Amino acid sequence: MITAVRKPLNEIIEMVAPCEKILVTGCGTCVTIDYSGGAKEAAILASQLRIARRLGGKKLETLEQTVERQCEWEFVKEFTDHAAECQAIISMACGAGIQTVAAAFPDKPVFPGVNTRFIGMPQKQGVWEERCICCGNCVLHLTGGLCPFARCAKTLLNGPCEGSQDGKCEVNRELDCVWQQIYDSLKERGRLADLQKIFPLRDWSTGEDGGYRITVREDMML
Amino acid sequence: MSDQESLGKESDDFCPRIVAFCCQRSAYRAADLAGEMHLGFPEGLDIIQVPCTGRVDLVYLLRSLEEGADGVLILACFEDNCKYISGNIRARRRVEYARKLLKELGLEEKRVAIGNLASNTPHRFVELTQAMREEIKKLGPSPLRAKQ
Ligand code: SF4
Ligand code: SF4
Repeated sequence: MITAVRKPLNEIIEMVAPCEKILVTGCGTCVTIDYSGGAKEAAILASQLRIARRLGGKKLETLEQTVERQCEWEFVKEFTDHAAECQAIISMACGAGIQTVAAAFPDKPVFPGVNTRFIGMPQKQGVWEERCICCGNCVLHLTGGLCPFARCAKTLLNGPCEGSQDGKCEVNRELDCVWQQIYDSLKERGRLADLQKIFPLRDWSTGEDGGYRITVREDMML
Repeated sequence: MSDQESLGKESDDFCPRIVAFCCQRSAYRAADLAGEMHLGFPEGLDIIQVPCTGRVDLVYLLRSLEEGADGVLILACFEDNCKYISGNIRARRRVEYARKLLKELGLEEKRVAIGNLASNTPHRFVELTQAMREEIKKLGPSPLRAKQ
């Protein structure tokens, strides 16, 4: 899932300052599960914005609407009627969702309600951890199911570095050293021999450094 | 003098409006008993029965203030005594979070609070609601009320 956190309220207050009526939109998938931008969070933000405006002696009208996923045209189209009534749209989806809404409603200002953080998973209730940086060339079959790019502070492919101590990372002692974890995981799986392989220099053009990426599946096209 | 100042000045006449979300298994029954025993409720108290305080969403707390409450109180079972295991703990954490939301808005955090009691403690129901009333009297009317 994609994880996010709500933007600081004062930033959002400033974005909507010129508006009298706004649409606050939630996304029903990733950001609902991480409690940052689902229907409940859209309702909370709308309430806070109304309160802030009223404390300033003025009125803000809000509409709220949440769709299944904001990163698909079919779903964001559902905002059309509400959007027509409003001067601006706040999207509480991840960056992909916000951009889909912005592209779908080119005549409206579209503001981000969250800061998108990472692809990750809930490690336990209330705690999310980063797991993948979308490198475009997965190595998890060689690293015991642990991603060295997302979880090593230095994105080392032939780790650990000499700063690994007692299973912790030297960049932040709170964090586990993923290369220690990779060693433990491979040992448990009886695959320590995988560690003997030296990874060659990596071609990062499959990642974000090669410009934004496009996947085409001609068989799926209409 | 602004509306708010005038309301604040008349603090002796100020009767706080407090919304109390009451767990049906503890606080609501305690309130019933307090009524039967004629213990006397604080004035201006609106009781809302909920199946478990874990059901009280953050937005209910904010909307209560928007609708004119001066304070919002959640009355839950004692910790370790929740029928649904941890509803009261979630309610406590939500109150802590709601206080951060109020702080972001420049509103006093103590306008939202939580108390714990059992169904057979009607005196405690009166104490907790009375204490909340005193706290809100100290804070004065919600600035939102003056701007309605
Ligand atoms: S818009 Fe973002 S948060 Fe919503 S479903 Fe798509 S990827 Fe997930
Ligand atoms: S190796 Fe690449 S694709 Fe695989 S989890 Fe790590 S970043 Fe994601």
